[in-house]
Amino acid sequence: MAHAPTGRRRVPLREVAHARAGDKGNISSVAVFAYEPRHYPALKAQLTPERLKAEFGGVLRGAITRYELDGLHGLNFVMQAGLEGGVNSSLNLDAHGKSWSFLLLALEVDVEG
Amino acid sequence: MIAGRVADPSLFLAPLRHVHGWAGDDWTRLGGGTAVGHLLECAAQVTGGYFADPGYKPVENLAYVGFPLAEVAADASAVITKLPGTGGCVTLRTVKEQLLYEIHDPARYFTPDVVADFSTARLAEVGPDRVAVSGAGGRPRPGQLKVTVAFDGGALAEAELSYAGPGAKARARLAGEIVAERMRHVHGFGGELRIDLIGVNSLHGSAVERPAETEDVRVRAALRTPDRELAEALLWEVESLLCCGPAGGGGFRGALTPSVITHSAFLPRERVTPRVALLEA
Repeated sequence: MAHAPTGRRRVPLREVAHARAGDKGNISSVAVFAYEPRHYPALKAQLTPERLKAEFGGVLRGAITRYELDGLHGLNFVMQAGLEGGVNSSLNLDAHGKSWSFLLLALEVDVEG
Repeated sequence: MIAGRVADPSLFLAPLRHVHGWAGDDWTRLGGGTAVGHLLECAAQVTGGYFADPGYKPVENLAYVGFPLAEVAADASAVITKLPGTGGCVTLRTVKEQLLYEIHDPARYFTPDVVADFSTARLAEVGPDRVAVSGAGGRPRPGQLKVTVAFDGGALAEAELSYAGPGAKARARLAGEIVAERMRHVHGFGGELRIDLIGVNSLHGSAVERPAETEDVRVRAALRTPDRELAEALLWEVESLLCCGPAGGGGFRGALTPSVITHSAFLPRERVTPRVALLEA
């Protein structure tokens, strides 16, 4: 039977990171920061644009770019066509995607310790 | 400050230039000052607003959150803080979140004053509710200005009705199906119609299937149209659910909101001449 490495555990991203969402037109941006610098490499390895697209492709309809801020232990995701039309044309109650931070924080990640 | 529609950090950069005598092409300091302006421009968002998450990111006394202030040195480094005795907090976490708020490429934040570089910014907690910011840079300002063009987007029609108790979710879902059916086939509405089950899955409804078990559900129907009769029809249809829809629906609210649709474009900066006229009575 395969064993996970000692101390490795799967947790909701919210346990190890905090996030804030912003909007410009129909572009959503969400910055995710590791609470502890030691968790940052795991986030960097697992929170990829491809994963976001796979999980939330229904609403994140365009290209996703990730900017890495190693000094701040943060990842900034910029999501084109990510707001169902944006603040002026979306029919979502949350037309700004202010709650997109918690969309991402519900993802699960594997972290050490 | 007297200005029309300008970039938010510019409102803070102007007095900094005035006090410190920064030149209009001192890109490093203009970038640093823009970082400070960006941190302040959303008021309490850097002092604990848009931040609290009980159990994870506690914020004390948020009901009386203090607005931020910055002590800005001549080299554009600064300390972000707030008045003693006010609620909220200024921490590495609140400042990090706000530094990247609505930023795309942190190394190239385009403003009319400078292309600021936040990627080199350094943050340090230097006291209670005091965070030092330094190291942001900048490059020459863009040759083009952003223009926002607005169009009449018709009316946003929104109507809501609630269901509670046993079977609330199923009754709410049926209500939504009735509204969608009637808008399509009785009123001939062919555009986008959104039906939310608030309490089950609404804000994230188009992104994930994460339906909650709940006995308190609010149906929300929304559409946008230039046709006022169609907009009003949506409100009538949802209100009619009281008598003609599933059992136990209550708490109807409906509203039409004028809708403005905007598009962004660019204009060479030399085509724009700022002009201020002082009118004296």
